[in-house]
Amino acid sequence: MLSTEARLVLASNLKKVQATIFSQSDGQPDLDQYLAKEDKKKYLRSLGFNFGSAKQICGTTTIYTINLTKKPKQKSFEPKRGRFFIAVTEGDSFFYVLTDSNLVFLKHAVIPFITYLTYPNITRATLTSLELQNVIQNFSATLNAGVFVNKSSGKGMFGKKPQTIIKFEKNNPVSLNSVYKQAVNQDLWVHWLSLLMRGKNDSMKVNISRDGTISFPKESLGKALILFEIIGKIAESQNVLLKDKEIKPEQEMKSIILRYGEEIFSEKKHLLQLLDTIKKYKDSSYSIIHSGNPHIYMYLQDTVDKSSFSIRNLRQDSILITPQIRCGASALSRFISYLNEDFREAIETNVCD
Amino acid sequence: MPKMSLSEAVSIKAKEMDRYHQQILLCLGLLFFFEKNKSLGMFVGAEIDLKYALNSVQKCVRPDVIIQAWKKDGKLFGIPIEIKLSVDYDIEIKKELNEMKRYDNQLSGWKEFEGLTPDDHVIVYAPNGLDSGKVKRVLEQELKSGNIKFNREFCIWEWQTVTSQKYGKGDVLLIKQIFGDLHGMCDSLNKQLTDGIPIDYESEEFAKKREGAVFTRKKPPKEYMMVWLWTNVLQQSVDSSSNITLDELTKKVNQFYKSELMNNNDGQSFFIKKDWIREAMDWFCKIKLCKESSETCYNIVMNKKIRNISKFICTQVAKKEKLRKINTDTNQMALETFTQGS
Repeated sequence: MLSTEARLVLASNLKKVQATIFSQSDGQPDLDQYLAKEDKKKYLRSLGFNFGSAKQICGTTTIYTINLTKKPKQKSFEPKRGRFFIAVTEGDSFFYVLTDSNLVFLKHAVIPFITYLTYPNITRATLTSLELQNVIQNFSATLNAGVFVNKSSGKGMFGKKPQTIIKFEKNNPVSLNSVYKQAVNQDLWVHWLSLLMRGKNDSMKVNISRDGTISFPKESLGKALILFEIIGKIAESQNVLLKDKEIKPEQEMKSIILRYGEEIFSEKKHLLQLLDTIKKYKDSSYSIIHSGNPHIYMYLQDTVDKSSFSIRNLRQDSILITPQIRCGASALSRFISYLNEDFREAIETNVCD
Repeated sequence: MPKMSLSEAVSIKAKEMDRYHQQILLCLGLLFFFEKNKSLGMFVGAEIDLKYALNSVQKCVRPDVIIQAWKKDGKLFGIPIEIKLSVDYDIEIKKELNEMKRYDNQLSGWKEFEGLTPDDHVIVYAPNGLDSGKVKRVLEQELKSGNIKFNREFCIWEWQTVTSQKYGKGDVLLIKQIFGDLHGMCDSLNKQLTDGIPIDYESEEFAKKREGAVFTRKKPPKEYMMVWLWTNVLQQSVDSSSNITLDELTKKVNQFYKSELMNNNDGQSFFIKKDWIREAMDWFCKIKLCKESSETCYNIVMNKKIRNISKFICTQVAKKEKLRKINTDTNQMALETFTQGS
């Protein structure tokens, strides 16, 4: 949990806050080490990032203040400039990233910057729509507040773009459960929610997305930290599930199974959609051994950290991912999050025993 | 020979990789079935030599799979299986069936089990279900015309992946005896085979076996080996200098990848052969994904941003092979012209 001193520092520096959470699969994140590495700096500069950082120790929490500029890929566009904070607390395997710049700066400058700076050891905490629902329910129970949804967007299955299909008037908020029911009826995953958490004496507005981005006003920082903590713990347990899955000499292979709860692969078009989705996965290369009749078997390599794993559909309702000689938890987590968002959300992710 | 376009050559290479993968599936299917049905027989191994018991010019045969099954009288009989992934023309089938005659001899080298070894064997030819009808037709014609004769029971076991409500919701690997008869030797196995043995290859239990089985003892197509090495092994095994020796690489792959399909009939594990790796590495050098820094040390070129590795490798190898063929043909033509001229 963030130290009191750190909260004060952040509160005095931020207005409307955009935030996200990153977590490390093993031990505590060492930001000093990442920021000091010359090869990382050089790599980031080659990607168009320019930055300067300062460090402040606030009790058990260390705050890094980073001024960042991200050059656009096309000259006609404006560079993205802004300031953000990274708050790392002793004993936590996750850390928080906060900025009072806009969401575009967070998504297109800050998140790629941290991802490239810390990958493959650190990944973003993302959620499934079911986890998002649990997080919100848990958060509202902790605050002893009612949850009302002002707006919500859903994302279609099999890579369809987000659609604001579940749209509500601000003055007529609805319950979280009814939003989820409507999403199911419309074959959508709840992707983003604009919420009003109404307690006895006060209320809090917060926007939260499956991709792990959260927006809230600075007055709600204290409450938002509770939300961060809940998400951080989910990321921590996912890392425990995905770490140490590489093949070890003289040991059986360990596979991860994604279950969809429905026989989606009984239709060949969904197998081909899976193949297409995997082909579009960023920072990767792939090899197809068998492609789609009646199953898919392929290898995927994460070109950033050289993690590799085989992928095959299993029965008509699951995907089996089997790590090879090298496979970090971050690479697995990144890929699984990608499939959840761009192909279809798994209802269960587990080790195949 | 008709000229083959580059895209056709690439497509054939992709099919060859897939066929090797399917052969593994069938071998594992048989292994899986006999592990579950020990009272019927045992899976001895894939690609294990059987010797001719009597003097012969040819010293041994190497079936794709060897099964040993229990007879009604408590003795064992052998089932050497020749798997055929694809066969197109009658003339090709006739040739294949004639080649099966090599199994029609007394064979030794079977696995000893509880003091028993098979005293005889049947012969099994296992084509894909897409080809089994024509194989059966050609066989019946050849037997009727007397062009071919077997002194032992000859069976056709077709195999294919099928989806049918009969076998549940998922796909199954179905192995079915469509020619020949094991009745009298092993009634129960005969009945199961003629009814069709469905193997639930999508079960988690089977899937775990499949993940470990990257090879059988049979040499894989070089492209298959290259794709596997490039995606899963090479870049993960090199030091900061990107160098690796053939010995280091061979040791590494054998440390991590073992499967029951690679066991010999003593249960000893067979190793992924250094020659297979050497061939793949030499081809990496030819297509410039590696540099040979000494005879057995390779420098991996890491800066290649290849999206579709299997396609890239098949295309580059096909291009090199085509170029080599053109050069060979040109040299041959030049030699012929020279010879005629002189």
